[in-house]
Amino acid sequence: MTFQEKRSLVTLIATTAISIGYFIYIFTQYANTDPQTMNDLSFWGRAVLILIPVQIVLIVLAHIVFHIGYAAVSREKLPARDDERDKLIQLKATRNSYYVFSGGFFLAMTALALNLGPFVMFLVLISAALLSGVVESVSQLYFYRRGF
Amino acid sequence: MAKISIQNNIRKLRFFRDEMTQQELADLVGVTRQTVAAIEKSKYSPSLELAFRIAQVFELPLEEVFIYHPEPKKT
Repeated sequence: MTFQEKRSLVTLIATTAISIGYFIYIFTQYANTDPQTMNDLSFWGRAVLILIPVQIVLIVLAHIVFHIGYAAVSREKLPARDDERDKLIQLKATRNSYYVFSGGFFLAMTALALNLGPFVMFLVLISAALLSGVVESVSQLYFYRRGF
Repeated sequence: MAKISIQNNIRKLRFFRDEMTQQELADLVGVTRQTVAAIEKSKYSPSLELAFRIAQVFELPLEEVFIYHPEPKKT
């Protein structure tokens, strides 16, 4: 497995673990104590606003640890920057993740149109965001491994 | 795997250059070693600019480094 494949795997694991961990924490903290909170728009706004910086910081930390660990273990020279192939793979992966997120956004709006409430809408929207992140990393892994 | 109709002689040309490593070639043309490996295995078709840079390293015309095999037209 190359450096770039391992880097994509780190992003995949970090994104999934942080998002799932955060929402398990949110649900166990609030859903059990006050079920009405789940349909409160300001609650969801706060939950998402907190998640974004937390996720960015933790993913950056995960990458720093990965780079340090990789440099210590591997004798291979670490790529100083992304080249044309890396950029092309990133673009293709981002395109795939946008497809997934667009589908999720459409489903979230459908949930609102069907009067399913903010809880279902945000659940669909956040799941789509998580899934789009997963699709981005998996697409990168696929393109690095299989070629294009 | 995506079928790429561009083949290349990079492995052979590296051998004739005193077994130049993939990393050395990568440094000379400004890409990562993994990209050179992917090009060699025909897993990635380089941009025209990169293809010219690789040919320049071996001091050969482009068509002696890269060979294009067009797929037969379906009738």
